[in-house]
Amino acid sequence: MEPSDWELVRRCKEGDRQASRELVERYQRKVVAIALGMLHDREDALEVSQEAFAKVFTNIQQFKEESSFYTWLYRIVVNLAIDRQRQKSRQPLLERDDQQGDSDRINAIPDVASADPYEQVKDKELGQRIRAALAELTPAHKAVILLREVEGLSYEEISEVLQCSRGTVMSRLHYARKRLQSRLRREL
Amino acid sequence: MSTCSHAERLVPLLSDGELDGPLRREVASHVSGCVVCTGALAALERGRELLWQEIEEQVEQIDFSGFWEGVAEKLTEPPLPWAVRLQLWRERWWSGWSLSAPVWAVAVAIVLFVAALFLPRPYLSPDLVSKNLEQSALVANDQAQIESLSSGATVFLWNEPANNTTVIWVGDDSDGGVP
Repeated sequence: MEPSDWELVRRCKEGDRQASRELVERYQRKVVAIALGMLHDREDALEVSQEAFAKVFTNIQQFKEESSFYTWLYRIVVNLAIDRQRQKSRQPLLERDDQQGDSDRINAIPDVASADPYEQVKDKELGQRIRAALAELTPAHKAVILLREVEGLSYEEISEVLQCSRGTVMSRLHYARKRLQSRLRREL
Repeated sequence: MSTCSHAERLVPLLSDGELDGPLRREVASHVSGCVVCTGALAALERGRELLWQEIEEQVEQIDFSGFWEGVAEKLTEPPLPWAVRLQLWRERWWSGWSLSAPVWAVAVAIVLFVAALFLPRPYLSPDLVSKNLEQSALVANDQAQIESLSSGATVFLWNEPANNTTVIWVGDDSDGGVP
């Protein structure tokens, strides 16, 4: 039987490195998914995700087991992603454009293995439109919609992650959905 | 549930699993018979599916084989300089309160304007008037002038520039109080 998060956290607090690794492997995909949705850049998302785990283990002794481990972890990764986005927005435009060119090559999603070239193009275009629609949202709205639609968190859990009220979660979710629906009207 | 607009507001809650008990059954029953709400529910679920698929496809492209090693490496890195950490903390805190400068300027201007309307205007207290008289003669409307005053007198001055009127009240201590 798999150990629970609390069991792994307890072992991490005792210095068990294997427990840390198990926690990472348990949540790495989910954390990277949030970071990817927030940052739209694979390299940044990986780095921020690894930083989030490093921060978790550095501060593991302060973690109180009244709240759930993953809401704490998601809070850290969302905050780090927002910080990274701010740092990038302060970069000089030319430097950002150079990096953007590289990241476009690194992050370009390869064509889906479909026999129909038309379907391939259509899928790729849809993916780009979804990414563009997501990129238009503010970090706060992105975080809410990713935590709800991709991670499946409840409103209560999202409010715990984002440290805001349930009403704020609902309001941001409503707005984010409206924006996405207006951009993806054809597909919906 | 009587109207469609009510159900539309609750459709996202139904879709997100945030309704329970009788309300969930009521809304679900309404949605099953309402074309608009059925369409709204389908759009929500389709939007969720598209977003989830897009993110999942991106995650699938990533090789996680070296991920733990990257985490372990960051655990041994020195922390960010305190100045950088302070700046990040300040930006994160400020973003929760920040309004644009013009909005703040307008808000402050409104507060000052309201304060100016309702605060009492300054006036010369009797003590201030009587002290002033010790130093120079009190001139009213460039016509009347008090040249001397016996000690112990209390003087009150009321000036109405609009009517070009000045009232000078001179009383001794036995009068007591303001006229």
